[in-house]
Amino acid sequence: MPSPKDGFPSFPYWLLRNLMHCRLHESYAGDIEEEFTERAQSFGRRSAVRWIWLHALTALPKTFKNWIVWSSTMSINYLRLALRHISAHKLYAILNISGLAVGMAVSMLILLYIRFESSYDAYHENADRIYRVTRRFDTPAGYTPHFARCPDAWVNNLPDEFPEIESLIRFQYLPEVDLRIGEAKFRTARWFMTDAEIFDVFSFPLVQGHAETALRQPYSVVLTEGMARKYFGSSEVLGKEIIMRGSWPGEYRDYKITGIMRDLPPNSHFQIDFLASYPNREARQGWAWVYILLKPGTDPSSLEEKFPSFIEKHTDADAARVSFLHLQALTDIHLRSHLDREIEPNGDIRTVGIFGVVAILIMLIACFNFMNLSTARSLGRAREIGMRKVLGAYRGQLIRSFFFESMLYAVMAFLLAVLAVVLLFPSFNAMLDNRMDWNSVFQGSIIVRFLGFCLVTGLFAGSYPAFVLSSFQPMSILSGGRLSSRSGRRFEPAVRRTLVVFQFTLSIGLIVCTMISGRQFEFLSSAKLGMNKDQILAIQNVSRDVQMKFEVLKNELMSHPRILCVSASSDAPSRDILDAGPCRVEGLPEDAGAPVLAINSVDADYIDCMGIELAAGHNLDIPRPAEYPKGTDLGDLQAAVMSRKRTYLINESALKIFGWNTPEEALGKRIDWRNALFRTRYGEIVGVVRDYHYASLRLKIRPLVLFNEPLFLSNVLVKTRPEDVNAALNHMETVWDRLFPDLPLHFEFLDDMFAGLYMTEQRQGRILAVFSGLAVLIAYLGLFGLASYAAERRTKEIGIRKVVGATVQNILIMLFRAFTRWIVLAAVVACPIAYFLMNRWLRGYAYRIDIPWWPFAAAVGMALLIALITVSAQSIRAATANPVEAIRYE
Amino acid sequence: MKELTKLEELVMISMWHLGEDAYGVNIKKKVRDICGKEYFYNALYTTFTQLERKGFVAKHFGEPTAMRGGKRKVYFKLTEEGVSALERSFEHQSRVWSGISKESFKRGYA
Repeated sequence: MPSPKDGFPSFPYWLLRNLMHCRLHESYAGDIEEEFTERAQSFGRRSAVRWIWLHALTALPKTFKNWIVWSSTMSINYLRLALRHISAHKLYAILNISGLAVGMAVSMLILLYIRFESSYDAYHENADRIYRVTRRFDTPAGYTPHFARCPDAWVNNLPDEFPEIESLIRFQYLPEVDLRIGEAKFRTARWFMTDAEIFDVFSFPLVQGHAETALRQPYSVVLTEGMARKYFGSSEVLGKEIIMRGSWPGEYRDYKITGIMRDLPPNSHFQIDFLASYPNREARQGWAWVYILLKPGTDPSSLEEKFPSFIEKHTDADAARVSFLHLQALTDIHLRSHLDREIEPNGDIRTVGIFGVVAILIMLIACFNFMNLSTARSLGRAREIGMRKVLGAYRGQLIRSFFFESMLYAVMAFLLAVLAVVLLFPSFNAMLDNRMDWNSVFQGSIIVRFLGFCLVTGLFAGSYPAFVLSSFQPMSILSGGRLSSRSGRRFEPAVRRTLVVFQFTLSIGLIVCTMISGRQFEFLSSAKLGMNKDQILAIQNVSRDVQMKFEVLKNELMSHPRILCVSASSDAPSRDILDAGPCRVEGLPEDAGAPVLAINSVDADYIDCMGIELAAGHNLDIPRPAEYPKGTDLGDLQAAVMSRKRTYLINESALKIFGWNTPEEALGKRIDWRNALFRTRYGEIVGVVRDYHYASLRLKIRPLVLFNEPLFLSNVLVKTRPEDVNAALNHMETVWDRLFPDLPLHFEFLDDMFAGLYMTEQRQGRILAVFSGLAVLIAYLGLFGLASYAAERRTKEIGIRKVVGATVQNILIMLFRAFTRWIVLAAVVACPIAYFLMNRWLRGYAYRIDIPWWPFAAAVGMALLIALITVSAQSIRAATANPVEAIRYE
Repeated sequence: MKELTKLEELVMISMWHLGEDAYGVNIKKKVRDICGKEYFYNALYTTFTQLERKGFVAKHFGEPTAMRGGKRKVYFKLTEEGVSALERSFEHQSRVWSGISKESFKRGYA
């Protein structure tokens, strides 16, 4: 071989030598070297080098062709081998492939879910430039809400004062509205008044009408296609009219339909029925969700820093100290925003994270399972590997053949998994409330990603057998007839045991977490609320004229024997009470600081009707009949609220915040209450109610004041007798239709509303339960395979033991002991981790269970029991077999 | 009846010329001398393999030399079948070209 000092270029020579498949390899290489030397001597070295390069490059195309031919020949060989193995060991193949398929299917479903959750609002073309303006208060008195919407009219000035803001779109907060379309009556809360430029900012494509002009005129509406069909039964409704009922009796407005927009995709953080234009500039104030479009390249955080001076300019120094504006990226809203007064309840990044972790864990279990089974299996193939090596297989070829086999398994599992995903998607989606939409989630790119994911799984799962098994020494394998490679013996059981212990750790951990979270969800929905939610139905957000006729309605309803009581409140039970403001005790100095209390306006019968207990004192004294203010503008309302004589009830939490020790101490104290709009007169505290859960148990009970203000009684509560509810409902409908002929009647049962609070949790709990069940299933598939393999491997040992006098029980105990040790070890690892994680998770709930001991015991017991069944199913056969069968060939 | 390709024919003629001395480098040179075209070893070795498979040539190994980096030469020799194939090819060519002289190309007709 010419040395480099001869100037023999090694790369083209290497190319020629290695890539040319030729039977006369040696003399071919020799010829090239000979001519090279000759040329170097007669024409100089450079010309010879040029010559060999030319030679090598012209050889390349042919080489590639050869390479493809040869490697596909090898692949066919590998494929034949793999298929032979699958058909020879069907049980293992089935265990292996199905375990992997289940793991993949579950992970894919979870990936689809995660993808859906993180795709919210990304469909807007300007998604990366749209921000929501949120409003935070932080007063010394402890009033610290962070609202998703802004109440102040001066936010409208943002685009005028900051050139980096391109435009500002308001989604005006409006109460539910009653609609009349022809003879039909509808009611919806999913509507906003908004600005005409909305279509430039948000990607809401119009099917009919012109985006430029649709919302320019006052009293125009743009309807979604779905709503057009619902309201009119057709989508050809351009130019038709909708009659909207105002908030005051007799107030009607005609809105003209100027556009039809496509239904919002399900991955939008709010859904709408229709958008209306503002009637005039003055209407652009009050609570609204405000979105701004930034100019490209604007840094939102530096813009945010300029807001304090902006606020100060439009209010005063004092107000600016306690109010803040923040910006929130549109695409962050769904998963990362948990502000007060969101348009719709959002998702939670934590849930997505938990699901992601579960997906990874399940995939890990499935992979380990796969690795375990293939290793266990291929140890039986040691003889084959030795033989192959003797017959001239390179280690690289063995590695490739193992990888090929595991890839083949992975691809088969992948195909099964895709089939399973397609079949299971509807029911999975149903568990998630049918929000996902197949087309938006399942696109080409995700299939490619899944395929990549499957190949990675194959590589990962095949890596251990590929590298370890191919390292066996053929001599020792073949002479011993069994695996006796040093590296194999040392390496294999340790790794395999670790994998099994890890699998069981994960399964036990998942079972424990599922059980504890299930217990917590059960606690949430069954805990004592301190009030009664059964047999009560709520008519929510009634309009002003229902409020004004409330006494009449109440009397009419009460006349029916099946209706027990009728009451009303400003916030329906099960909804969090967000109206809060400082509450001052009369006689204390002005600067003493007033604690912030939530407030709920209730009717005289509220406490009895809801079964709320009084700790001291008596119910509110309410003058009857309730008087309504004559005027309808804000000033009149404020004056009416201020002028009324009052008594108050507080709850026990409020007692604590005022620093009073006993309920009796509070009686007779005089307090008032105020917020940004309203103020009430000082009045006596006439009673203290025991704390009751007016909303989700996730929230702490706030210090609360109950008082009576007929203006705010917008939720009617009707309690019926448990028997014959339908008669009561019929009566209610008759009365309602007589009193309010042009208003539709909508009501919900309180227990449903409370159950609805935990629906997300329950759904997630159910999904987690299913998934951890599957994880456990995969783990036991693996255990089953291993146990049967162990029993098979030890056939001779068992035979000899039996000959020497071991009983069937002895043998079973012996076989089971190894697995028990693994499971106990797994339990020792899993329990503390699960305890720690659940403890952290439970801290997210204001009211929670103490972590019970039994889920740990149950999970470990269950793991042992199933292991016992699995192992003994395989071992009994080995243990009861006639020992002669086992050892006669020795 | 096995047909010979042009390159196979060329290689066999070169081997016929070279006699006992027919191995890769020499064959390559001879081919160049006969037809003036430089072939690559890849092509030549493909042809050698092909001819061997057809049974027209037989190979035997020579001694390794230092100039060849210690690699053996492979000598080729036409088999009887190879010789008769070459002969057939010669007769075939003569028959095909008979009656055509160089002048006929200048004339423009046969």
